[in-house]
Amino acid sequence: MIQYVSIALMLVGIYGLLTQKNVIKLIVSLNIFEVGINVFIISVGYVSGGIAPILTSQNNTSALLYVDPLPQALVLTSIVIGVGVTALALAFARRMHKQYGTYNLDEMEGE
Amino acid sequence: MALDILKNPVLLIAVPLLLAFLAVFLKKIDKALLWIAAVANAASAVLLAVVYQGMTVVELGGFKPPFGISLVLDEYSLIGVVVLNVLFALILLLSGKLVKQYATVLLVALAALNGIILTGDLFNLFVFLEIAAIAAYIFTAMDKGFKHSFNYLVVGTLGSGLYLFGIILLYNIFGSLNMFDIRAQLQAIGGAGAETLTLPLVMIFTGLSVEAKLMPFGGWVKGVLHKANSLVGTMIVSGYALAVLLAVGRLMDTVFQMTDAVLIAFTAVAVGTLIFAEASAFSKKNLREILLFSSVAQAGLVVLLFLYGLTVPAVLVLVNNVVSKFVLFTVAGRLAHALETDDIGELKGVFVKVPLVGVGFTVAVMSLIGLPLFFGFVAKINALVGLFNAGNVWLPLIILVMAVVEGAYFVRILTTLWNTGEEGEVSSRDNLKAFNLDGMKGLGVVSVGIAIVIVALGILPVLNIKQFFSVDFMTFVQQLLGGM
Repeated sequence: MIQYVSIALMLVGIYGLLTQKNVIKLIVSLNIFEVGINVFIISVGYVSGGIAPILTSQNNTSALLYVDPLPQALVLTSIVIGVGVTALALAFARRMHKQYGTYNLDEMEGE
Repeated sequence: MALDILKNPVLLIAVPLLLAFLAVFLKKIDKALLWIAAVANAASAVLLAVVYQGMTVVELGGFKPPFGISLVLDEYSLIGVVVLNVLFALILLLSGKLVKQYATVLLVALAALNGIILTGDLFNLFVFLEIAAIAAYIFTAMDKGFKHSFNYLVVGTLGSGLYLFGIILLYNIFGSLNMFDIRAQLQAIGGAGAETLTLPLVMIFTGLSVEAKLMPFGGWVKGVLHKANSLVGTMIVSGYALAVLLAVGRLMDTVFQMTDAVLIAFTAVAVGTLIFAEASAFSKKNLREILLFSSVAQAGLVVLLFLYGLTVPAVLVLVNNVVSKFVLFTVAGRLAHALETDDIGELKGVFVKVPLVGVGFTVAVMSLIGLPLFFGFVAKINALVGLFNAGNVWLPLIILVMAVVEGAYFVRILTTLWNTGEEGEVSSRDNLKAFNLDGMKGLGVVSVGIAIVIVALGILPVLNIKQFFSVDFMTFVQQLLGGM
């Protein structure tokens, strides 16, 4: 179920990228797309009834049912990269606004 | 032994990355740090080649493969790192003043490009691709072309998102992100799972196509490069093209188990890129636009060869392309900077003024087209023979026709740039425009040096042709000549 939601989110993001002309809205669409992928990654590691994959004094055996920790590590990296890209995109948006006085890609003059 | 530590390929990534962090704090000496990293990396890559003794897998963090991240140093990645790091040092040498405040970004790019070539892990490849891409977004905006860089950023992020989606699907299927582990699992089931892999492979191929500049996903490249200076241009068409296409080749060698339908679809993209880009290059009048479309065409050709399992010819074509393009794009960028135009008609007879640069440029062009006696010929004949041996007739035909188109527009460039008069007129020095070209000596020496290497690599195999070409090639020639 959650995987359908994540694919829907990815499609919403792609739809936004294809239809929007505003630079900020494009960045928001990109973020929605990334969130969709991140949710999908997490869903891959989910085990029904599994617990957090941390060895503690109570959960001190590998015989217990844990969720897969690897996708969680991957999604953390993916989120960090996403934040970096978003920050850079916003910096570009600001410089473009300084250059052209608008956030609309169609209204930007020149080549 | 104390020297053993120097033989570790992880240094190629770690040294520039460490110096990049230092460069953030030591802004005053960041260019010196960039130079240290470039020279150290070039030296260490050459050292790795000298002491190379078969494939080594470097485990990071003490996790044995398939767990953890591993770097793979074999012949394939060794050629990649040697060419990449030597080229990077040369790029820096020829465009030193353009670096300005971008030293940190270039250090990060160098680390990431080495990582792309060396890594044996799918997710690690994603991380290095993203780091390299972010560095590229920043330095392509060097000349205030924020709109084009933003375009590149959006397409690039979408592409790496799709790649990430693809590798997560692969992880879901195989429970592993190690390329060689996945290949072993695929071999164990003997090609039974090809249909299941269709979706992840399409996602991975589409995602990587953005950075590999395959059409239509590589549409960003025109905006970013058509006015690029020599530093940005050579980084994208040489450094990035080399690393990303080698990564594509590595994936095709390991995880790409394609059904016929998928293979045909990917072939269509590669062939379409080749035809579209050569046709676009033919119709352009500006030197840098012609070169960028020629790069796109070569990317299509390389991916095509990788798709049919011709790894060795593909690497030869790729190396020939990036080395030639390095010379061509540096010359184009420098001419455009000095004369404020790169329209071929305006540059009539410019090489008469700077003959050394002209000779280097001409040799690079000849090698790119694939004329005999140049390295490009060795690369292309291997590719064509490989395709013929695989029973393919149409693909070599397309490649040869496109080589004619390529030859046509490159010969047009050469005749214009060497000839001072109108076409058909006797070239006379009286017609020579007063070009203001100072400080081209270093460029001339480096491009002639590369030209000598290209010619040497082209002639040496001809001298002992039997050893160099495979046995198949000789039987092929004999059949062609009617059993002589």
